Formats: sequence, structure tokens, C-alpha cells
Amino acid sequence: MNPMIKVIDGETNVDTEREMTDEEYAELLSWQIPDEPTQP
Amino acid sequence: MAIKTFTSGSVLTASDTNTYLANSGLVYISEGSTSSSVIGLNFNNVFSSTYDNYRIVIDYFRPVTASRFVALQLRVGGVDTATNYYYAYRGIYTDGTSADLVGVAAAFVDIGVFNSSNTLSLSSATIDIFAPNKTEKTFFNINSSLFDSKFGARNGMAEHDTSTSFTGFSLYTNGGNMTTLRCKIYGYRQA
Repeated sequence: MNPMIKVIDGETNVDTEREMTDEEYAELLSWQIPDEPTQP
Repeated sequence: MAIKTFTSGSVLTASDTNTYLANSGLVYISEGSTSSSVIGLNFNNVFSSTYDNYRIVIDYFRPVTASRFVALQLRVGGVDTATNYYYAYRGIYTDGTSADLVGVAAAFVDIGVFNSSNTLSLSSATIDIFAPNKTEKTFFNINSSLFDSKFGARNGMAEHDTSTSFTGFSLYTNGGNMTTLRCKIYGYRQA
């Protein structure tokens, strides 16, 4: 099961929780990094 | 609207009141918060032609796993944009050491909020976003606080370097769920 995400619609201010799609979760994992970017 | 001057004996009418409410400096749009069961927040339909500029206020952040920062991605059509972000901060910790931070052609904007603890409740950040709904490059001014075994502060800017009309944004950590992240969105009064 993929993680849950909360989605808020700014027009109605209704929020819903749903499971991330495979595509969304793969995209998230593609950029998540363990540490903050290197400081100058 | 022009500022109306009330004098002794003036009557504050319903019309006056409604006018002032409608023209307050920052106009509330939406808000959201996480529980530990979710990995992030997706805000859809918060940027529109109603306002040019927006303020995002984050007043509480505690990750499920220690040592997490908060990442922002702009959205359009309910899909995150994960390319072409740039950001630069000057930062300082309370012991005087540097908390500077930069990102180049990144997949997200690191909004400068970092929490090395998963028990400490850390605020905060204010993010001004300029004209995200216009088909132009989007710029941000960001002030944030952080905790990395000591407190710190960052002040800086970010940019999305493609001319795109965005309608929303997302907030995530760099891994895992958020015990709590609380966020409100306001529009800047137009006139």
C-alpha cells in the first residue's frame, strides 16, 4: 500500500485523504533525499 | 477602496462593515494540517486570477522521523511540478554558526524549515509567492526558523524558472510522514 496524502480544495475548503497513486509515489521517491542539500 | 474616516456620531453600517471585511489586507483562502497518517499536503485551486500575490503561513511542524526538512512543489491540474526550482538563503544558528542553504535546478523548494527532533514542535515559516497564477516565472520570499540541536533562522528567496500558471502547491518532508504540519493560505488584497 502506498502512503496516504491529504488533498485540500481551496475553492470548497473540503479536504480528503487518499492513497497516493503508484505514479505519484514513484515521483516523490525520485527526489526525496536523506539530508538537506549541501550548504555553501 | 478609499479609507473612510469615521467621526463622533457616525454610524457604522452593514455596508461599511462588509466593505472592510472584503478589503482586508490579507484575505483568508484555505488551510490544512496533517496527522501522522499522511505523508504530505496537496493544496488544489488556491491560486487563481482573484489575487496576484499570496502568503503561506506554516506555524507548526513536527516530523514522524527526526531530521527532516519541508519541501514545497508547485502544482497545476492536480499534479506536482518536480523540476527547475532555485533557492538561496542566508541563515544563522543561535551559536553564531552558518545555516546558509542553496538549491540549483532542484526538484523542490526547501523552505528552510528543518527539525532534527521528532518530539519538538517547531514553527515556522512565512512564504510570499508572487503571481503564481500568471504565466510567468514564479518568485518567493521566505522567512523560516529551524532546529538542528540548536535554533536557527533563514531568510531568502526561491524561484521556479519556467513560465507556468500554477493553481496550487504541495508540502512534503524529505522522507516519511509528518506528525503535524499546519498551514494557512491568504491572498493579498488587490486594491
